Amino acid sequence: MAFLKLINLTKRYGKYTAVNRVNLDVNKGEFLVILGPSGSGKSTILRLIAGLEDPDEGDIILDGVKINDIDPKDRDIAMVFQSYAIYPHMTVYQNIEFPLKMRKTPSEERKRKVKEVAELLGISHLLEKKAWQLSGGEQQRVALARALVRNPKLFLLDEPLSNLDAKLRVKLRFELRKLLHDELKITTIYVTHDQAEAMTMADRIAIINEGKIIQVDTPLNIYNKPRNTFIATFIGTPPMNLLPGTLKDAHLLIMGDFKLRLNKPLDLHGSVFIGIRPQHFEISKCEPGIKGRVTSYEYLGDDVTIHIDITDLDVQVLMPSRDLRDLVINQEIYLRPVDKIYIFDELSRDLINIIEPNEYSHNYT
Amino acid sequence: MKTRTYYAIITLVVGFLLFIIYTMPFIRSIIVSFMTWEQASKIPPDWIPKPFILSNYMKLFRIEMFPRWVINTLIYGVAISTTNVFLGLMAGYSFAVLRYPGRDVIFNLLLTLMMLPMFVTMVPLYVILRYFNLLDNIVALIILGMVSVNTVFMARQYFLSLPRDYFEAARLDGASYIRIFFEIALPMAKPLIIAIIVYQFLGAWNAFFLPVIVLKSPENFVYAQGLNYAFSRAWYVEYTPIIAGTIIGSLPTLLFFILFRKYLIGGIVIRTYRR
Repeated sequence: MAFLKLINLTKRYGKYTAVNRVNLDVNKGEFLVILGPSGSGKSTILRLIAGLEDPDEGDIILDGVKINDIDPKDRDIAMVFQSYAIYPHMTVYQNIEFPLKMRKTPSEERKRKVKEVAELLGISHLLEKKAWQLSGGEQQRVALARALVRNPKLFLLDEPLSNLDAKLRVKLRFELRKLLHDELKITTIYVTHDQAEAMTMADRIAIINEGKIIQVDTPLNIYNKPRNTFIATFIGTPPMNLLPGTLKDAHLLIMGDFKLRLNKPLDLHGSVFIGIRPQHFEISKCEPGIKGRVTSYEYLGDDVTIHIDITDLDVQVLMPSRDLRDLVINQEIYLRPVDKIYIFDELSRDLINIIEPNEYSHNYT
Repeated sequence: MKTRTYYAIITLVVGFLLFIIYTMPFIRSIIVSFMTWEQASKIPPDWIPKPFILSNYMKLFRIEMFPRWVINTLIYGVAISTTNVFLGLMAGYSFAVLRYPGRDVIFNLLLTLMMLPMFVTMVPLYVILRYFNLLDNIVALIILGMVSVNTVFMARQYFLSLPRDYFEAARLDGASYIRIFFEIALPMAKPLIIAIIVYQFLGAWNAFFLPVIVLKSPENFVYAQGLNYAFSRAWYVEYTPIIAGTIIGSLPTLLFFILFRKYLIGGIVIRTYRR
């Protein structure tokens, strides 16, 4: 049985439903990331689990116990806030000691535990400082230490890296996962809107939009099999391109003037959305291909993103900079898919099929 | 560039005028406290005491009851400052941080109470005090001043201005609401506490109307009431010693303000990592 179980969890604010019938299982020791755009309800889920909000419907089961009506202070759940909430009138030492003091831990043990966790996080030299004397990264560590010092059952993190600069963020996301998952093996729920954080840290990602969980899976599966166009365009940078297309006679995929022949027949016909990742194109100066016009470049060092205008649709193609060669702005080019092609339903926008590169050929014009 | 200079000049002039208007009564009081009543009541007013006399102050200290009144007022001031700090902050904390049904209704009712003129409640209060045999007793004043709606309102606004995260973090750290009040809310409310003490203390030294209603015997009087009592003659009031008395009466609050100025002016700034 799952360690944490959310069953039909619902939270409304007036007419607005922030969390809509969410079901989620989290296993013991798992690092689960809840990923969604801002306002999607991801922080509300965290606050419901912590007990800072009461659900309108549904249950929260932690370690076999229904905790809906248990006071937050007795749930044994620790949380790191986006703002870190380091108590400004206390020193770092007092901050870390606070949860132990509230639990009436004997003072000798408190001293030992604070020292231990401070060493673990490399903040032993900061213990006598006050919150405002700390840098963002240091505050983040103190907040972590305060949460970890009492060995909570469940660890919640609400966008803990979003206040830090980009370089530190990349460094800390690696360290955080190593510490929480590999060393301490704490069950962690981590909320973020940053897909790179989700992809690099998570055992599993739960993607949420408009209060509903859309897909829960490993980062790789989410990347390779996005359930719908929202996830397809949300995960991966630059985002997956979506092109309108038509399926005809079970063998023919038509995008504008360009036709692909499918080796395996698809039991589908009519309009669809065709999703192709920016890395999965090749650019050619001659047909066959989807005709387009180069509008701009974005250099990213080794790679370059090329923006191509296809009948007023901006399509992004990612390729190594050295392959850019003699492409110039306004040049007419032809795009050919060379890897997976995703087929989405035109109305529901759900994934219908993935066509592997060996299942189609584009020598058919 | 030029417009900026003009603005600076206008600001300065207006600021100076306001300064004069606000401080004039105080300056005038200081000057008058060294004048005879004859000179002080002249129209147009005289500005230089002539003769320069100290008798107004001497008269104060010659009053047998004077130390008594000061002590009464100190007791009154200390008592209502303390109770206001604790009860007012607790109530404000409850209205700002806790969640319970009817919270905002109760708060709005309290605010409405603030809008009622004192005179409306005066007679019922008097009757109640008489019923409890508290008339002519400073305890009555203390009970009435124990917590003011103003303090509750100030405290609520103050706690609302603090990031909620602190209280929620403490909750998850295992603190009960009452511990959060003492360990988090109270220490973070230093500027507010100082402000409340200043207001309440000032209120005690200024209190006049309520003490006149409640207190009967001169030995129970508070400061302002005592001064009025001491210098009201049958046909006239000796104003200059009263003015001297108010100058002395304003000293404790003034001193307090100077000592804790940085908390009051600096106001409500808690330094943390910016969001």
